[in-house]
Amino acid sequence: MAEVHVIGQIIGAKGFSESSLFCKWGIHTGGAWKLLSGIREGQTQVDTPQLGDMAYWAHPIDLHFATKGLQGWPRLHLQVWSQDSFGRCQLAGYGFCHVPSSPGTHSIECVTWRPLGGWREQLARAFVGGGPQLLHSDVVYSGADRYRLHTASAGTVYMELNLILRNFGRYGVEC
Amino acid sequence: QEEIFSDEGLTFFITSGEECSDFQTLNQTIDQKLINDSYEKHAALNNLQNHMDMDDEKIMEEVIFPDLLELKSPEYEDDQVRFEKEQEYIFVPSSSPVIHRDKLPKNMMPRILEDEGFYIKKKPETYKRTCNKMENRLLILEEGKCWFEESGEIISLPSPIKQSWNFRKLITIETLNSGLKTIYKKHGKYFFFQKANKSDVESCSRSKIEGQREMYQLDLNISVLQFSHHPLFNQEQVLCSRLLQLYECFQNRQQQNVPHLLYEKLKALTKVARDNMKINQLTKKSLQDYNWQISNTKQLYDLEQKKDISLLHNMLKTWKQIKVLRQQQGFTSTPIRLQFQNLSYLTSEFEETEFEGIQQPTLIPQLSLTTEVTNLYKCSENEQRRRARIQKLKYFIKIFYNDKQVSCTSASPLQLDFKVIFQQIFNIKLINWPETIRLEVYEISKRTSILAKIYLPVPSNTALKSKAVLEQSEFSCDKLVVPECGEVGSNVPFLLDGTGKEELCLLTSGKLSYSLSWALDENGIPLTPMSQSLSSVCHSVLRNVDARGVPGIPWLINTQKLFEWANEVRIDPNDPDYSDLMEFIMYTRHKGQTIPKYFRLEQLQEEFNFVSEEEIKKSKRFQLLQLRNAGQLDVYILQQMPLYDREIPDLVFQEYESQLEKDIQISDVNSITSQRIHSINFMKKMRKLVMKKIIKVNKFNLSDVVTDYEEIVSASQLKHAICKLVERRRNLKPRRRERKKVAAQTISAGDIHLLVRILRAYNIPSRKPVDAVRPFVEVSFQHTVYQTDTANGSHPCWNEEIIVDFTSPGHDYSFSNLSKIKDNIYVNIFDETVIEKHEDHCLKGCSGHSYIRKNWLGSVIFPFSALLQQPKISGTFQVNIPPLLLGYTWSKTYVSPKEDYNGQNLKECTFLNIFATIEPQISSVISNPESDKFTDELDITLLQRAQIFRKNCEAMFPNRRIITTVFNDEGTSILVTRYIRALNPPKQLLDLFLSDSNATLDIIARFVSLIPCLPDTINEDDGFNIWMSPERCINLTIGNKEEHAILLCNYFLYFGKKAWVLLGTSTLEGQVAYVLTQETDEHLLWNPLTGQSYKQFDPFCPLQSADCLFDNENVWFNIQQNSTPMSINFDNSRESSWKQLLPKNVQIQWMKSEAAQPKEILYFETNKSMVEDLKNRIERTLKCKLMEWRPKQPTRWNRQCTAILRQILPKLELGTGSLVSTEEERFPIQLPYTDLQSIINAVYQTGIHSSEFPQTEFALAVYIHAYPNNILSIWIYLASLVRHQ
Repeated sequence: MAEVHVIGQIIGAKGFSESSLFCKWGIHTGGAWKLLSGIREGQTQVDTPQLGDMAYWAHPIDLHFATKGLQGWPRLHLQVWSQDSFGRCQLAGYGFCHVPSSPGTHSIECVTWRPLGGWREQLARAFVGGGPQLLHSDVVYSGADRYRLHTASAGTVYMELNLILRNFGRYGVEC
Repeated sequence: QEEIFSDEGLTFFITSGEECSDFQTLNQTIDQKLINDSYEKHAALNNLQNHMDMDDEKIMEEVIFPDLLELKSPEYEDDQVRFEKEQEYIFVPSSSPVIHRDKLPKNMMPRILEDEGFYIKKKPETYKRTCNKMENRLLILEEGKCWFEESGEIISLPSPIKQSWNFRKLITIETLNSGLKTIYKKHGKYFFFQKANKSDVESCSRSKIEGQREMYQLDLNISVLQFSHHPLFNQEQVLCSRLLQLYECFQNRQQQNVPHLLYEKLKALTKVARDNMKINQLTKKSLQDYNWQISNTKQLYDLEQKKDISLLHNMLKTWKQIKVLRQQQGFTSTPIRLQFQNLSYLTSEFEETEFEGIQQPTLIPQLSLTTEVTNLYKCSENEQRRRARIQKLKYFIKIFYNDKQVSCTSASPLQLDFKVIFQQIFNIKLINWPETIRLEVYEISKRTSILAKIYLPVPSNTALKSKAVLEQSEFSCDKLVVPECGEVGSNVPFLLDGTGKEELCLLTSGKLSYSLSWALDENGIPLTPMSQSLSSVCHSVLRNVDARGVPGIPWLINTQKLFEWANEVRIDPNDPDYSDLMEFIMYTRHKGQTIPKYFRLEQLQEEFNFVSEEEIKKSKRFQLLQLRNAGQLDVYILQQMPLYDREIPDLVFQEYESQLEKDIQISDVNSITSQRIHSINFMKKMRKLVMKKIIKVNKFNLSDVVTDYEEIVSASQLKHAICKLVERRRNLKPRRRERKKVAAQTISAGDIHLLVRILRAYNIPSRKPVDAVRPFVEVSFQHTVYQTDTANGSHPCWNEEIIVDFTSPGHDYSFSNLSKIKDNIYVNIFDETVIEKHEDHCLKGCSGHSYIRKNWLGSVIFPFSALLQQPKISGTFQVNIPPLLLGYTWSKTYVSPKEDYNGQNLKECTFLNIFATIEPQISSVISNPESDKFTDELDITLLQRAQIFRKNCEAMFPNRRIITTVFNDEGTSILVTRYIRALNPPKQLLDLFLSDSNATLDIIARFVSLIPCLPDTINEDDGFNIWMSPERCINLTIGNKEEHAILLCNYFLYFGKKAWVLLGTSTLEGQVAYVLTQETDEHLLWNPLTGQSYKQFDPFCPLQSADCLFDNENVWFNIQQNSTPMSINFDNSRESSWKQLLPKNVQIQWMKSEAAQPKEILYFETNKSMVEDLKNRIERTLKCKLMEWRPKQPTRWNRQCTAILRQILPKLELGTGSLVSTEEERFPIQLPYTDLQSIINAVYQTGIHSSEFPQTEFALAVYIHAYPNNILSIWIYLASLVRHQ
């Protein structure tokens, strides 16, 4: 019966080699969690930085969960994409972070990575764009099988999340 | 110094043009003066350099360089010398091949692994030269040889032999490494199996057994450890053990008694053969066969006999050896003694036959332990020492269960006869299935060392404690023990009996006597895990399966079925074959538990749950929140959700649930009513399904998202915009200001109003005796009523603005939500009459000495959605006046509401001029749904063409409606023209007016208008039009506006009329579909919802714009400047005014084919009894309601009047009725039947119940005129009677 409000925004991203970035995000929870209101996933606009290299999205996140257990605490997973001048989109990075578990304001820096692929793919990516993407994007937040991946680190996504917890104390979870 | 310097500069400049000598001296002075000051010197240098061209080089060399620079010749070393020097440091490996011998350790042959059968990967290719160089270089190094592998090559591959721990496995992405696979272990249940081969059966039994922790018990009884060879054996003992072995072997043979069996067989065979020979019955062949068998058996018998004899010989020999040895060493160390018993067998029977060679054994050896062991003191020293050492030895046994040590025996000493007696019983309590039971024998002499490991077989289920028999398990140990004094040692060759004839090498070996069995609990139930012998269950069952034809293994998984099967077959519970199965069944019955029927993904979840799933589901707050999120809650949309469940009233859910129930509950007593409800539900469902099927892609344009986005299309627009800036300002020029549109999100309750301005009315009927009427107008919306002042006369002018407050359900004022409001706005005209009060019992509502009563005269009704769709509703509208208004007549003074009236008789019409709008105006979202799926059997190009046509038209006149393709009830998009096809109207209607064709048309229009109309909300469909076919529409007796129009058009086509469906907007109804018919000289516009027809130039035609026409061949779009029906030309053949979808000459195949065979609709007669039932029901309900609405006054019913009314009503349906009566107020209401509630509403609107005049009597009559297909026309005659004074 405990409830969690996740309110915040995806501020932007920095450190990506590409400009014109946008971000697809989603929140994955375990079976004990139930979304009461809000939208679980979304996509930001494409932002082209004018000053500096930080792309700002200021994309709102507002979710309300009910949970019957701590298992499967919400995980935020991100996919940063870049759009080139022809309007083609290519993957710039995957990232994931747990939604913080203490109430209050949290500023989160979510580092990202992208799959590297073979040298052919890297070469192709450098010249014609595109690139390897995860077939099943749940790999982003589930650790299994990741060891086989070769990845290149990408930029950082900045987020600001406010958490409001309710009734956790009743079940002996102090926060 | 500076002064000096400046002086110098000066002089320098002065003397610059002079000869060198001067300059020289000058320089010298500088030198002398400032020789120590580097800065100055530098400056001087600079000065000098400025004049380099004039400078003498000599000066430079002499004066300046010596103390700054030094000239040196470039260093040079002779190449040869350098090369030699370098040679000392540089090693250039030669590229000549190296001999194998050098690369390998000394005396090693190159080992080529490939030849040994190893798989060696292909080596990376290197040039031979480079390789040689490398090898040479490595050989120079001290530890260089480690770089070479055994074959003499440089190590270039990971060794195939050594499994390096960091060896990276190459896994393809697709196949998961099996090592990574995890096995699902159910939490808390320890009982699981690791034997992989019994998958199915085990899983069944596992699930059966797990669930409770069951203890099982194995009893292990370790009694004696007997060594058959021990390092401390002396020779006599070795011989002795051999003798024992031989004796054991002999005894075994004796037990089997093979020779005897063969002997018996031989006896029988010879007897038969002899008999046959005597009788000569047998053929030669069988005789041969007998002979062959006899000889065969005899051979076998001889062989066995020989074996026996050799065994005896061996024993004898060993015994002799022992005796010799005992004599030699002078003492005996073993108590063994062999004696032979001489038996004389009777062989007399066969002695006369040819089998005389057969001899029966005559010697029976008997082994006894009766020899006295020589006393310790009489023995030799060696023997004494040996015996002492024997006594020092101790043994103990560790018990390992599933590789875990569970227990350990106490250390027992080795006895002189090399026995270790433990006699200990261990109870092993089990939870796990026993996999291995291992005993490890340890020896304690000086150190404790492991001697042997013995693996015990897991006992079968039936091996219970009671039956336990000692079993023997042999073991041996290859430990090397060097003999010391007199003993023989172990694993060491030694000579038996000093003669050196026999060399032996014995290993330490022995036998362990033990028993292992399942324990019984106090009830005698064996503490045995069930699963153990399930494979055997499977086998035994399968054996029977074949016999009895029961389905195969799968049912084994299902224990339930197993029981059933067992009951069915009635297997014998005592049959040992089934013992396992029976036990299994007994066990499961005994436990009486159920198999968990679910598979849980997060099996640990339960442990950590705060609350159960049910509690979460029960939580009212969460339910509310979810409902709100789903948009299904109307009330709580913008309100704060209560924090605690106790604050939430159950009422909220009841409302919601009742809504749901309403959808479900479709059964009604009356078939007609139930059909109506059913068809409405069907429509809803159908729409939902179709909407699901239609794949819609809502592509937002930038303009949809960004508000101020204005696309600059052309240069002219740009020019216009610039011109606007330059334009001269004309302050006094009146300018029309657009009403500001308000975004729906910003509106909260109370901000929004409905403005209804009642301007004036024309031709209100006046009361009969005196030509006077005092009309007033009531506007009612959402059960709130607003009233204007009372005016006088038949042509009153109120000019009053009524502000109607309204609330949207759930306080959500978004356009989509507002469009869900299905309420109508009723504008009712009443006549106020004042009746003088004559009696004393004055009630509330009477002012002074008179009663005020209002008589309903007529109404204008328009839906709320019409207001939403258009910014305003304004104009003069015809008032719906009941066909019969008793006590009223038409005013003698006729005033035409419009000047440009052209000769139509409108004397019997009342008109009301109103203006209505929503303040502030709500910006509507016009969705642009792009359905880019064309799924139709029609060729795609036609549909695409239609889409393009529609887009073009919308670009030209964005305000005009056009529909070219719609979705049918199967969710495929088709052209609208396909709906138009001549259809036969009901036969009864055609028979009514055989002569008058116009009357027939009217009655058909009326018939169509009686079909209940499904109010279609704007946003519900998201702009998708889903039209049912007209046949469907008739069958379901429900339809939306367009379907009505199509049906009417189809009927008209049946009469051979030229008819089109006209799409347009009406001031009163918003978006409408009319039917246009071509008469001889004019066009008629039919409103399918009311059945009324308007002429093209009728000024009171509510149609405001005619936008689009279609029939079965084509779609036309109005491209004329004006769109009001009066000002347009309906001649659609003119290309300039009507744009066509299809070119005229295009003939499409399906049109012809379908036109050729028009479908016939079969109408069915409405059930009369049901109509009667419905009529009674309506009457009853209305009466109840009327009394309900008058809570304070008594409601009396005038029966006589009711009876009269009942007679009148049927005549009204056909429009022929004349009435003479003196009652004060009464009027019939006519409406199509949809449901009871709408009837009640209509009656309520008349306000007849509000009469406060005492002693008012009411009369009510209901008449239902039934048309075919359950289409009903309902007449309600309501009268309130006041007695004349």
